[in-house]
Amino acid sequence: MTKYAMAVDLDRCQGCRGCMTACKVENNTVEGNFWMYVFRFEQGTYPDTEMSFLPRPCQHCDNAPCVKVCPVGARFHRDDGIVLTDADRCIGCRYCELACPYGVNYFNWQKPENAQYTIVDWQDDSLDPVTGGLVPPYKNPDLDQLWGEEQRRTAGGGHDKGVMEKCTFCVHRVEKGLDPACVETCPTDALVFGNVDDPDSPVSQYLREHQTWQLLDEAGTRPSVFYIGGSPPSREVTEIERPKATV
Amino acid sequence: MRRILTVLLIVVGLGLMVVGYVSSAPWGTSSITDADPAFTGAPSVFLIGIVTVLAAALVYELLPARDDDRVE
Amino acid sequence: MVSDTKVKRSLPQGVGQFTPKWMLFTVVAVIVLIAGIAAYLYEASQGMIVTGMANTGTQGGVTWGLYVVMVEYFIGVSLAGIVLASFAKVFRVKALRPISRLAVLLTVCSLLVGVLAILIDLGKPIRGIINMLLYVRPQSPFFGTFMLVAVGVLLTSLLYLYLDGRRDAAYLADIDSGLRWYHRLWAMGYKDTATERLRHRRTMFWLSIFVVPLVIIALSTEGLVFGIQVGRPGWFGSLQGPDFLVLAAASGLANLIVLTAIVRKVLRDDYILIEHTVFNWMGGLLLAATAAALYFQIVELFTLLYATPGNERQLADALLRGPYAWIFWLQLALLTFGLVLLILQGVRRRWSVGVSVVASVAISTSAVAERYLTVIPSQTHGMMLPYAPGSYFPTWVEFTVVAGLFALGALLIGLFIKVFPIVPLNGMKADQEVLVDA
Repeated sequence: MTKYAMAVDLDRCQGCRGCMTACKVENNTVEGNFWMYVFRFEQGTYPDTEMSFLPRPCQHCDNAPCVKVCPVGARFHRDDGIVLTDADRCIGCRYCELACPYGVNYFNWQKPENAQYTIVDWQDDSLDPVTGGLVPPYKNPDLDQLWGEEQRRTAGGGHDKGVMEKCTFCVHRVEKGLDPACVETCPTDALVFGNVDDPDSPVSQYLREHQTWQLLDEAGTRPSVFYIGGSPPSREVTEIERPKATV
Repeated sequence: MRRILTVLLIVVGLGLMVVGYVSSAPWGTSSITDADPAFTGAPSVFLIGIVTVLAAALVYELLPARDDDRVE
Repeated sequence: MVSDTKVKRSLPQGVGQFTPKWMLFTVVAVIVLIAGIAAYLYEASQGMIVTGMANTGTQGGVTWGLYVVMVEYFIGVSLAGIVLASFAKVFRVKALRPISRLAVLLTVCSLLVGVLAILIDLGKPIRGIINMLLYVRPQSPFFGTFMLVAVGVLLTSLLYLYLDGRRDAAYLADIDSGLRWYHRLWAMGYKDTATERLRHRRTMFWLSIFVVPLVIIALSTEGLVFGIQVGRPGWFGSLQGPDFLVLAAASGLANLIVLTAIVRKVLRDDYILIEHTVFNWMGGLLLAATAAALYFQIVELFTLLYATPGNERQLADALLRGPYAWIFWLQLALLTFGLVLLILQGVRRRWSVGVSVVASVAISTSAVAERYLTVIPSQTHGMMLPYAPGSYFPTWVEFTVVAGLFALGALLIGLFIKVFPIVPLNGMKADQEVLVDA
């Protein structure tokens, strides 16, 4: 059996948001959509303030509220614990987004092609030597494949206008035996991913050696993401430095 | 005739609704497929069940009168 | 009525007479409808980016906006009509019979519009219809919305409207008019023999009994859509279902009163068909429903006041003194105002049409606001994770589409009135032409 889980060590996280960028590059999510999101919190009043960080990927709950409310079974829970969205099944009712207490779901409000970042003018011919004509916009070819034994188009983002998308634990990488992009990128190794049913896997060892807690335990969602160190966010904190990007 | 047909339609319709409802989602399993109905289109069976039950009222009222009905 | 000789009579209640005023109404409604369709087509081509909606959380928006508010409102409005008609049928309330067809028509039209609003809110409407037929899961409350409301209640109301009008259609089919083919089609061979009449009555009786539990169960699932969600502040709770029904009853009756007043005015010479007593009945029922709705509101208000620190408190603050305070207090004031007007009339035992209409408009507006407060604030304030608060304001696209939905509903009712008598003929006085007993 395989059961994937992620450990997030808050004592190591420095809030660099590199994981957010890696996720965007890997999954081609549109502007304003952050499948991996890192909260930057501030607590107290100047000069006695304290900052803390909280990476928030999809929690891939074993008792996922989004799976329960999906009217057409586009959102489903695999035996290995990954919760996925079938972009070809989703009808865009956005109920999953409301059911999720973590706020990890992102809807494609417009054609994804029109919502990619426009810092660069992709039509500029002088870019061709660099991009080899792969843009606009660059699209990871793995994302349109069918993955897993269920063989559905579940990987990556920016599929279609009017469908819901969210973190997939980079299912297209996991299926190849790789770590998710955020884990791969993290410069401080604050993110650890792997199979918890294998006692020798790095994540199993990490979880054994540390005390863990889970986000919004009281919601009864049984997440597959475990936090180490730090503390659950209180109501006293203020979110600062939200990304400027909007839909 | 009219009554038999009406009752039959109601019974068949309710039966279809039960079948459609139960097979719309296999309860109690935890596999990948538990997000999908037992067979594709199972919800349509439920829908046809609703329509069949309602058709009973139409049949009861609209079936052209025959001699045996006059005796009622 | 079975006579083969053609009777020279004109269609009753202005049916078939397309007056200038009616034409004006229709033209205006069609223009608004076209504007709504154009706005929706614009939205369909550009994506829902043209609405005020955005993702909750990091994007600080709401993912269910004005469309879902209106879905809840329209579906709520549909409750009262058919239940009232069934009530009148089963308990043989003669006073309510003249408006029973109007009541069922209101149910049908508001349901049609509500279901359309659901489709408009979907990111993929066509795939939505197909996948609902192929995959819809009973675990999701949308099973109730789709199977029970959009299919069950809508078809039952249409069936009710059709069968209930069959006798009148048979009568109209005897009249030489341009609409004769239509009335013949509706009558479907009905001859009004004693057997047929008995059978007709029996069908309507059982249909009336069947429809009430169906409507109550089906519409409760609209409240459950919110009531089973633990992931949002202010939603989880067993009261969402009953709360939805009570406000639905009030808003439905309020709309019916306004419609009745309009129809009564339109019928002019025939206004005697709708006697003043229906306003006594409906006013009393609306009073009860509004009192119950206000009771629920106050219970909720007290719960909000005592909300514990945490995300529920954030939501309570947003509602009571935050960005939503003006809507919250305004809707409470409107509901109270409507209730006071109704109570004053009830105490004096004199129900004025004008005052009832004013009260109804206040209550109906309050219902829209209350649906708004159910859907929107829980998405922007008091999220379980400490996201910064969000905000939402609908864009012109959303307002135009919603106006189009109202226009469509009005247009359907207006058209119906011109092709079929809105007051059941068998409710007419014995000294008038139609001698059919109840």
